[in-house]
Amino acid sequence: MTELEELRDAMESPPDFVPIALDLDQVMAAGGRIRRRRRAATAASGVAVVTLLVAGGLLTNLGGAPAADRAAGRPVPSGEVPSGQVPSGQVPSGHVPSGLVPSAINSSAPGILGTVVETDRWVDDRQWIIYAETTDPDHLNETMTLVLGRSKTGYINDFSADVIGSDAGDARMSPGFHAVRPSTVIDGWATPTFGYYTGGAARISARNTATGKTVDAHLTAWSGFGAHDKAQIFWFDFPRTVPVTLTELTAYDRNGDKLPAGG
Amino acid sequence: MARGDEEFVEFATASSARLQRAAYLLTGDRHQAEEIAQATLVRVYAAWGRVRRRDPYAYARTVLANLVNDQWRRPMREYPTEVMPDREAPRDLADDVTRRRWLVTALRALSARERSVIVLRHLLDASEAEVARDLNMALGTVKSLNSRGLAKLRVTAGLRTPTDEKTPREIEVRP
Repeated sequence: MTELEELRDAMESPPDFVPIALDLDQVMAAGGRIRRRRRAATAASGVAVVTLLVAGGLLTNLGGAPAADRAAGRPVPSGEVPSGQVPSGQVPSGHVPSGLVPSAINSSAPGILGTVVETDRWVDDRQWIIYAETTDPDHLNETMTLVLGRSKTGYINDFSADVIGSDAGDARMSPGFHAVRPSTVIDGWATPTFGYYTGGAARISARNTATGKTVDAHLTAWSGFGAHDKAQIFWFDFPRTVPVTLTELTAYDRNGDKLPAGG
Repeated sequence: MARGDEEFVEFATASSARLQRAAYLLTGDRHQAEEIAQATLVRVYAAWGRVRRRDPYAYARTVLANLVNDQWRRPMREYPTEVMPDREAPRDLADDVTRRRWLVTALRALSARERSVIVLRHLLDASEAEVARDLNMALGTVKSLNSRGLAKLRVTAGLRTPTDEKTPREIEVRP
């Protein structure tokens, strides 16, 4: 037996581990649910995108990007979203909004759920991207996780995760801030402070400890499959190489009233 | 049962054990391995219409690698072991079970990236290019990790003849 055969043999039959018979009925039931949700999300997203384009009078200004491509889930480059056109459900923040890339239709990437946030901030030709990930969309309270990373094309295939944000416990969808991860430096590049807020925030701000100024976050409406699976993914502007320390993270409703920070 | 479902059951039955073994080698935890293998098959079934005529096994491998990597990114999932185990005594090398156990232990002591490459490449039969795609690494990185991982295993797991290496050694494994 060659060395490699010996290694393979050991891996093929690791001692102390006997594979079990997996419950394929359960596998197919869970997989079927994902299929149905993907179909529903595809239909709903197609309607939403078309509605947005009609409402914005953009059907003649797509710059060569057919509506079908968008409905099919292909990433929408940030530059294609005209300034001032904010996708329905998103909160205007004075910045170009994130592209609509509903994962349920964009890819086979495991675990991605809802809108993928494109920050339009690039380092080394790669854009910082934030998305929500879950191992079980039926149990977001226990599994909701945010991922910050970089991608050149916007597709999962060349995405590399840099920061994973999730809360401990089983209240990840309770009102308030969640999975907040401060700005740090990775590979020599600063990352944004980011997280998500559950509870209908129209504005999220924080104080820059270096300058003392209050700064507003970029907000993107996020939703899962359930009617109540809604949140705002937020991130703060950041220099390319120097992390920013923020404090006094605060959420406000549309009337400017403070919202609970949560536990 | 629809024909597509029948094909999926056939695929799942044939690949389930190997997926579980791969997940076990990558995570070191039988319960995680079972959960990951099951979650992998759920994803494969959800995408079965798209992947059944292509290469469902390759798709399953990619999903499994993603799920396991996601586990690795969380600190509590890291292996506590950071040094290679000592070489088994020569008398034990004749014992296949003991030897396999020790090889698997040595495999676990590789870095997560090395172990991932080794398992995908040599248990799940992925080409170097496929491993690079699955793990989002450069091809050169995969080659390097594969070579380094095998080299460590050769030395520490006794894949060479006992006379090549007579003393146990520890290899520092970076997280």
